[in-house]
Amino acid sequence: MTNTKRKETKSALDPFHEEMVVDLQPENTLEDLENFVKTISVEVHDITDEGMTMEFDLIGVMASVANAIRRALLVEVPSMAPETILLQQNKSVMADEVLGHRLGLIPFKADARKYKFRPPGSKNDHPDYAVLFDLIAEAPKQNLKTDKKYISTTVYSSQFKWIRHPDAHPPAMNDSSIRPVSDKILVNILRPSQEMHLRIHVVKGIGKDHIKFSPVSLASYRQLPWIKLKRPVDNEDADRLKGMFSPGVVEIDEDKNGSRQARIANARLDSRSQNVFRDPYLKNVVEMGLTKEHFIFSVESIGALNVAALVKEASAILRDRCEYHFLSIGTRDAHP
Amino acid sequence: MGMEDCQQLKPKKIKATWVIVKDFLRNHGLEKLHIDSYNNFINVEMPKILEANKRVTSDADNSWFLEYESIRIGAPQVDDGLGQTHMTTPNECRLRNLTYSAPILVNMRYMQNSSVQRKTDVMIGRMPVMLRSQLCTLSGRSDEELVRSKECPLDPGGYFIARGTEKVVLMQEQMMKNRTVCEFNTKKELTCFVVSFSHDHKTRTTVAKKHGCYYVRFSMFKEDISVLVIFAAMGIHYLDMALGWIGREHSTLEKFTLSVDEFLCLNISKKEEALLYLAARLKTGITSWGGYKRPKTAEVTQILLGSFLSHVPVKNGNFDDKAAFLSYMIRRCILVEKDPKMLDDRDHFGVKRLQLAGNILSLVFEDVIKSLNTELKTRADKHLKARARTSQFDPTAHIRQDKVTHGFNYFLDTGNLNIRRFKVNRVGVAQVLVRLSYVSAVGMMSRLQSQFEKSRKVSGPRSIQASQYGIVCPSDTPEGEGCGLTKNLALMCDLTEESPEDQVRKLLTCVTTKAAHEVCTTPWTYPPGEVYTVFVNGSIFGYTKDALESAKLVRQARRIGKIDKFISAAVSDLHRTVTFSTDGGRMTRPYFVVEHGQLPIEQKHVDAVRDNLVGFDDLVQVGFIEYLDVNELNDSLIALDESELTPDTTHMEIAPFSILGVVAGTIPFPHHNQSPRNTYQCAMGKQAIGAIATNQTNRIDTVLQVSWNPQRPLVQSKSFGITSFDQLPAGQNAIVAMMSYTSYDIEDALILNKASLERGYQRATVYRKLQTSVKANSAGEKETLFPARVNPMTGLVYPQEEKLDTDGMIGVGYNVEKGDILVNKYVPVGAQQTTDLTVQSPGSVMSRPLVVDKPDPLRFQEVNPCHVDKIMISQFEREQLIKVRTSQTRIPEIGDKFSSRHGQKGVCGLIVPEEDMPFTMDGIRPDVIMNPHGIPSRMTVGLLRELMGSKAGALLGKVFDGSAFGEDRLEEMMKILEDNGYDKSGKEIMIDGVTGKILEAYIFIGPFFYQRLKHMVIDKIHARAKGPRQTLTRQPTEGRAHDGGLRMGEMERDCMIAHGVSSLLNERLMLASDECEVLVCDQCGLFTWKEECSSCRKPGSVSTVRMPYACKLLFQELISMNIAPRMTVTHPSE
Repeated sequence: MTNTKRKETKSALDPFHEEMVVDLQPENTLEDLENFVKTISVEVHDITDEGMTMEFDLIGVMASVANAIRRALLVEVPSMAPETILLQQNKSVMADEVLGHRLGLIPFKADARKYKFRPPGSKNDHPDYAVLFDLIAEAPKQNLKTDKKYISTTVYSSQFKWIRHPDAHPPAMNDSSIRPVSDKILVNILRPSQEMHLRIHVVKGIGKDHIKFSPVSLASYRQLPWIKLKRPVDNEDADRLKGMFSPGVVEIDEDKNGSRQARIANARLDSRSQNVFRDPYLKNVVEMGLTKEHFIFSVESIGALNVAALVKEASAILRDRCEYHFLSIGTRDAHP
Repeated sequence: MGMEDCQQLKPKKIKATWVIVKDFLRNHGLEKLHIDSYNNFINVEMPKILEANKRVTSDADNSWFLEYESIRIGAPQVDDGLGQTHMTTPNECRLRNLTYSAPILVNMRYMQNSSVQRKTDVMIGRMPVMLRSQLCTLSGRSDEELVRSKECPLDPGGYFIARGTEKVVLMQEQMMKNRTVCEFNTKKELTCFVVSFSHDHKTRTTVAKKHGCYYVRFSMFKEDISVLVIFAAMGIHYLDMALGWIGREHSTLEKFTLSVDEFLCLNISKKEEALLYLAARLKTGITSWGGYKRPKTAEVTQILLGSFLSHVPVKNGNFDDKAAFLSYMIRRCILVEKDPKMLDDRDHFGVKRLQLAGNILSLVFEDVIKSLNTELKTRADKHLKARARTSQFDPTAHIRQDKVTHGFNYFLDTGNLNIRRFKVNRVGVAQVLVRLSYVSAVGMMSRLQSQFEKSRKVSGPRSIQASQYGIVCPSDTPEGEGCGLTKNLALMCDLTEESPEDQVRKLLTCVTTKAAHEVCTTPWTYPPGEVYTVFVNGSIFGYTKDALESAKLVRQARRIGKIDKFISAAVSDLHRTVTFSTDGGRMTRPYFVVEHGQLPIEQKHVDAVRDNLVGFDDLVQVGFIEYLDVNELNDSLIALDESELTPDTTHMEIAPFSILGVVAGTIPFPHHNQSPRNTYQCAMGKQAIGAIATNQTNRIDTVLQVSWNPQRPLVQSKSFGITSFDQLPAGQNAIVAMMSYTSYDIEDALILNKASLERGYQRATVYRKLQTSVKANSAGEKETLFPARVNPMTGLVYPQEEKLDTDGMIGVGYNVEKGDILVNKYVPVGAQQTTDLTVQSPGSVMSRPLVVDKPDPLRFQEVNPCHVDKIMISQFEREQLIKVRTSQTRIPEIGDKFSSRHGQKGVCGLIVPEEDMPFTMDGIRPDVIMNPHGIPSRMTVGLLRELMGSKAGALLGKVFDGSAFGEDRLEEMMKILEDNGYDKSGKEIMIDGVTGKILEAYIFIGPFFYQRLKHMVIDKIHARAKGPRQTLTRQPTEGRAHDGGLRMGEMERDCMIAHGVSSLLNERLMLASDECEVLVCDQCGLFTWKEECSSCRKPGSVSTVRMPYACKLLFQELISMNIAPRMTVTHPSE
């Protein structure tokens, strides 16, 4: 009995089963491929936070393609982050290495496309490779014997001062928009008479090397959920049903008679919880699943570039890689 | 709200009573036990001991005397040598390797020039000062003041600082004094013994049953004495009196007849005859005190008066009380025969007493003051005896301050309590305070050490006793040899202070109790089951029929505050006794008083405690709460909560979670875990890297491990916050996915997210101390520091000295590697000792020209490079102390150890790049992947609940409560998850980061508190190809520290044999170890070293034999013992 029950549950939701969309077999013609590409579509769904957050749908590709874009966004699109520090003075309680690590994780607003990767062994502060920032913070002196309370001084990222490099000639080097992503990042807290004096080199890098170079805080996708009600659900059942889904998924309509009926308002918002299948009645009413080859991407940029640019960069990286592999296959064919 | 309103609310429900625990711990926390005990020693015990040893007289001059009048302890100070003292702070002592101590000052008068002289504040030595005690400079300081003196406000105190190391005097568990124990001894004899303590005696008296008769066994008699002889010697007639106390009921008399028969055979009818009988059996060599000889019978009388059952006082030569006590012991033996239930349990906690730092120090002090007085006496004797006195005898000049100081310091430095005078010899009493984490330090303050031998394989004292309820933490005990012997006190355990027993005695006169002499002479004697024996502190007070009445009387008086709150009354119906205790060192625990099935305390009182209007002690004062010691606990009916209240209930638990100790209190949902898991966690929680103290940057410990980003857990128990662990936590909240991944997580291994590590997850710094001192030798030649030298050949600085500053010490901030010199010290050697090794000192121009010095640098010996973090230089007397603190950043790596808070430890098996990590629909990538196979067999349901609580808590921005027996409900958490659109089971759909496809299982994922443990691969990793060998056996050295080899032991050898790889075996055991070639004489079979045999001197063939050097060594050792191991040599070719 339990067996059949389990089967039932599984068939009712079965989010795991996935079918291949297009059979990309070697014998496929170019035409097939072109037709396939035509079926792919991207729908931008939501852009917020001045383009720094975006939700878009990628429809008509396999999971591996969506995943490739996600992975590229996460660790392959370059961004700028502090890499080296010239530490002149650190009198705070925070140890030098802790401070260094903390500074390294502060995101900076600088367009990585305008810089080159700093080759190993090159000059640390060359304007092609690095943006320089100074941080000089001093806590006011206090009479530690007579004053009852110590006054703490907080150091924020707003105190970073961009140092224009004297040799900088490209216009990008004079871009005054170069600054920390946020002015409200707490760097350190100083006691009276303590001070910090340091210079950081913000350089270009990729997330594979260190996660501080990752241009996104969130890059993930999920498949579009669908929910169907096999029969109408009303009144108390409707309330219960509403509570079992993410907020906004189920709405309740009230007709003239005062009877209320549940309606799937927006299945997209659902988080695919199984709560409904624990209800002895509702589990037989609801049918749900995930739409194949429909991926909802959520990307949040750290703040240097907007998401659209990042996705473009990621796609370019993928395209370059495909080209590289295509070429290497081609060469092998040429010289068997 | 008036009283009427309150009573209307029925059933009344008292909530949040845990605030009382919080208030209790503020004033009576476990570390306060140490401090109170020390204060009591300073205020009460020390003057008492001085009073008892106040007078020193001389045999040489009867008129001479010295008398101490009063004693006090000054403020903690340091003698900087050269006679200069200054006030000190604990932090200074820690850093400068000093002992935190204060002068003991006495006022004295003594005879000089045939007149009495007075001197005040004469220092007789130094007393170690307990931190946060009344003597300590930190006592009564506000948090801010503490911070200014570089102390951590959260530090518990209660320990000492001896030579810069923090020492805790562990609580010692001991058997109660003066209590009868009835048991079968090792010879299977039925015995009843009592160890009596009086101010000058400690004796053991045993009543034993042998072939049907009862005997007294006492150390001063050669053989066992029939009990009735003792009675006769006491002048007690057995028929009239002794039997009255033993009991005249038929069943008792029956058992006793054989003894009576035996006694009648001895033909003793008079007291004198009995004394003579005993005198003949007196052990030789026993002479009474005073020095002069007495008749032996007088000796026996003296023994009976004094050391025999010495705790029972004899008034005016009346032996009644002693006889009554002896009779009670006999009666116990008789009753045990009838009912084995009457046997005593030695492991019962009611008969245990705790000895704390104060008690132990008072032992030391008593010993030390006695030695001081003897020393003074001998000096006075010598001085006053001298015919021609050159000067007046000034005793103050002869006080050996160093002896007193050394007495204390020896105890704290070694931890050994070794006092011959009191026949005490214990090791490991004072131990180094373990500062691995704040938990370990606080946990150590509540540690309880038992007197049992650790190596003994006994289960009795190790297993948990029902009587330990509420007193000892059921979880916190080490595994292995100390299991069950080393215990930890529960959160709310308090110790009694001694109070005068007159309070009880006076009260008891109000009830109809009869004294011993009244009982035996009147017909009011033992009718079975009617009369109860009344004990006050182990001695018989009298007999009563109203046992309950007398107990109730004392309890009522205690409840209204007429007598001390710690006085206990316990009725035992089994033993027919009423026991009243007023002695110190008993373990007690507070409970709500319940009267007629109702709680007198009301919610408003609890709220008042919460609002700090009323304290715990006020609630005790008004009788809402009272202390129950273990014996009284056994005589009470205690409800766990209000639903259990019945008319018979006497008390109610204040907060059930307080049955756990401080360390077990950190576990969330411990009552959902399998018990041993909590025990494992108690051991592991102490090894977690976190914050040690708020002054950790000022400290220079031998090893100090500090977490970069310690976090408060998302699920906490109430005791976690109460004990301030939330302010110095050890661990971080990680997103944990419970799934199997890549199979690098089998057998408890964990998978870590590379990005998380790069973001600083579980990063830690290890600080280490290296120290050296620069001093002068006895000839006054000073050791010196020199800057780096230039190699005259190359013109370059010697590489190992490159990082030295001009002062000869390494510069702060340098990265140091193995072999680098940290402090470039040179030791002067006399000119005659000059060897080739010595070097012309480079700084010869600077200080002393032409002196030859030997280099003795402080080198960095660790394998792993470090940074120089801090250098401290301190001057003490003529010695300079240099401490170098190095730091090393530790990013988690494969092989590092981590643990949850549920005894689930594991090492990191793989570090996975973030893009490969699975992610949820929200895009959450886990920091840690934990294998779920560790859950079913270990049954740590608390772990699953913690994850649920953390997940719900993270969604709500709230810390969930995981206290034992009163936690937040699971349903509540599930509701929160559901409301936020999550699956209420805590499981989620996850997508594989490698393939991009949905994982075919729901994954249990959420935030979870993970601890990093101090065991890290980098400290343990070790391999060797070739390396050093031992000189004696030429075998490879052992252990990582000596770059040792990896032993192929017996079992590994067995595998080789089984596998049949003889050549490999030969290679491992000989070639790779200690192969050597020896010459063996073919004829005599002994070693030789030349072509001609050196032993048999016959010219002939000598063979070369290869053997392990250890074998050759063995043979030579045998030869040196005149055993000739002869080898028969055959040549394969022959």
